[in-house]
Amino acid sequence: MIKKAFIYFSLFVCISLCTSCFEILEEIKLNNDGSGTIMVTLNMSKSKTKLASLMLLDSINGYKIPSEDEIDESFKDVLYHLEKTPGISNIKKTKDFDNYIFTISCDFKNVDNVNAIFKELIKKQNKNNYTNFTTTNLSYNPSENVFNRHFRYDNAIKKSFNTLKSEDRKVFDDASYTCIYRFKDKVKSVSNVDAKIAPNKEAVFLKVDALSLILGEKNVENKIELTK
Amino acid sequence: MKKFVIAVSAFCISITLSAQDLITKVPSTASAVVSIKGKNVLQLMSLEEFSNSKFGSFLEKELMDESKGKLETLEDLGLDYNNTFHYFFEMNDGVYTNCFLIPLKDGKAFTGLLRNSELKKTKTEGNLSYIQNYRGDEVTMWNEDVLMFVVSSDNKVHEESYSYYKDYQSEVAVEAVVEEAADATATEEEDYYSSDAYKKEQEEREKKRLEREEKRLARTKEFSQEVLDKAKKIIAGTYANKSILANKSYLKSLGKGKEEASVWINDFATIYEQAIPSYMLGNSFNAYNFMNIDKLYGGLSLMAKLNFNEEQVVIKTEYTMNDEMAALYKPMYNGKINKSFTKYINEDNMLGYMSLNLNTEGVLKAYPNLASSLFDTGSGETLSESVALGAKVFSLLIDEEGASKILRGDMFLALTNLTEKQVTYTDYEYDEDFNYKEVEKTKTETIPDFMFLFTSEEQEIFNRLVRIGLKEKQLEANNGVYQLIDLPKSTPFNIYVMYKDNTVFLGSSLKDMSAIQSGRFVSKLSSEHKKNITKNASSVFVNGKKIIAEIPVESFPRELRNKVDFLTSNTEDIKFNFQKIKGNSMKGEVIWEIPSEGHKNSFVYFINMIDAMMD
Repeated sequence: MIKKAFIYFSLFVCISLCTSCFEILEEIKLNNDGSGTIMVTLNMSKSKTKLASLMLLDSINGYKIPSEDEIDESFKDVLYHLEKTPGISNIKKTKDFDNYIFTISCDFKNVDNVNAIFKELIKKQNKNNYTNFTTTNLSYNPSENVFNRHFRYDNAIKKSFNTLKSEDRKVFDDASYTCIYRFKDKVKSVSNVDAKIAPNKEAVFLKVDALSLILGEKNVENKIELTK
Repeated sequence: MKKFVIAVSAFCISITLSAQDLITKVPSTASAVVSIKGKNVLQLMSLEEFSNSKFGSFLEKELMDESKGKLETLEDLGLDYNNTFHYFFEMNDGVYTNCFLIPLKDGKAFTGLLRNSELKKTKTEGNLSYIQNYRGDEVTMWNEDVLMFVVSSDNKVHEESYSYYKDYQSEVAVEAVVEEAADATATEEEDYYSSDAYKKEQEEREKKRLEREEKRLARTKEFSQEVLDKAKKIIAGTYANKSILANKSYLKSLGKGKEEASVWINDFATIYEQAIPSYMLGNSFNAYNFMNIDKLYGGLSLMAKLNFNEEQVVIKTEYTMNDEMAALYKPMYNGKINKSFTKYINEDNMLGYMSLNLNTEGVLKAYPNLASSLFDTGSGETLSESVALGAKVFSLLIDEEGASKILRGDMFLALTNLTEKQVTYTDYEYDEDFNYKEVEKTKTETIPDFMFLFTSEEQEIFNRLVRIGLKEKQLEANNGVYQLIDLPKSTPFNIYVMYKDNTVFLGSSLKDMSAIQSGRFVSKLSSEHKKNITKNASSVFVNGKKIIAEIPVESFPRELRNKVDFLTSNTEDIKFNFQKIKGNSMKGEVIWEIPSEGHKNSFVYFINMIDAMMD
């Protein structure tokens, strides 16, 4: 009992001392016919000492810490959901519990298939919490050759963030959201001022720090015009 | 109500109190008394000094806003800050009374703070004024010398609700039958609801409801009068069975009266018994049916005193138990600590420790007796007899002396150091076309080192476990120190075990443990720490300054980051010591050290800390 208490104490010290942050990477390769590949990576390896300490505890600050098995189960649920979504194929996943990097990728026939993955979830969120998030995250108009990454900021994000304890908010201090879009055609213009176009004009890069995204100072909305 | 909040805030924060001590108004039957001595506090910091602090100014601004400008300073509240403030709690026949007694310098000043609506509700009887809320359970009463808030709750009201519940249960049963019948056919349902039987049932139900309502209203009215009578009795302080000053346990707790605040809680058995609503007594929910609570808590009292000294804040506690419990607990806490524990610590690096000095033999002998007495309700019931039998069998089967050779009961835990460890992480590097590759980068993390020690005379058992561990590849030998190699891969530190001089070591630092094993460890520990570890039943030390200094700035919440220097130079040690049981009592103390310079005394130190955090 006392040993457990002390090890717990040491873990708490570890958790207080170690820094935490994460990076989300969204990469889309779009073909001319509107089909493509999407890969989402959650990289928490910079926080791995802290996460490793957290994983040894059942809960902290009132939040339950999921075990590896529970994370595995959630992963399975996500894959099952993807498999059921029409137009989605070639689903791949990687889990690295040593470095806390998790990746899911899949092919889609049309960007609407990607929207369909989250549509019900977002609808439910909007209904239950009176939010106004868009259910269309991506769109592609082949005749205009315009690709859109939609994003509608809702104050609910800031409100939820403000309800967090300052200790918990630290998680977002150095976190970031990166979007990379690759096209077969050349990029003519981008609407997001923070986005960069690669010299070969075939890729667009946008990295936004999580705090700016949460506070509504920056966002990932982007209208990308491609040459016809 | 706003005035209530204002005055209670003043009670809590201004910490004041003794021309005519209000303690004579606390009845001898009070279960708990909290006192704050204004005079002692004002000697540490005058009201003017407090008002000039940021915290004081903030409070005065709040008071001004709350009172719509009527109040500008804490002085305007009309409180007698040089006197003693008291709170007491009393439980009597299912009625709980919370009472705040606030000394007044100027009763008229308080009246001046009341709004017109409150003045209209104010009743006056001689020099006594009072406001009672519409439910009748709260009374604000004052005269020239004292302001008093009484908040009562009545368990008998709950009892009434419970009888309603029982009533309802029978009705539910009837309705269940009705629903069953209703399922048969809709026509039958209609027939039932228009039947005389149903109408009669409804009439009965309504009659019962009205009776209950009548009873409830009568009780509310009765209770309201009881609360008012009680308030008048308290403010008059004329008790047939005298004030709390006639209570021996309370008188014993008074001491020299040098403390700034004190807490006294008496007779836990009565508190526990009264805390279980009377309607629950006698049913299976009530644990007291099976346990002899009086044996465990009877005669138990707790006293705590808070002293703001020049260089430390001290909370002293004394837990007094009855003769039987003291006789049972004494052998449990009567351990002898392994003095060599103190040879394995170097205080230059140490962040904190915790020692526990139990006596395993005493614990194993005491537990069966404790269980038997706890369940000895004198009823001769099966549970009581079974526990006594189980305790006897346990006692016969366990070799207390043998068990104490494996684990004597003395233990010591220390946070020995904070070490910087290089850890790798995966990041991304992008080329100009935003193609990326994973790259491994390193960063420095601060990881705590710890050591856990306990005395065991059974080296043979340790050696056997090590042989099994090595054979099963769960341990790896390193000159008498063994590393646990099958830990979860995410464990942020390595764990090593070893045995030396009747002591089992478990820790995270190979360097320290190898040095101890080879006799090269350089120990350093002050005589004060040695005394605290060896003489007390338990001792805890936290090296606040070192911990604050070692925590990376980025680990602090953002709003505190620019205050790290202030916190580092103003945080000192915190100690907890719990002595062995002497007579029938166990004494403890919590000591919060403050820096020797920069603050007039520890009370001013806390106000300065609050001020600094408000920046």
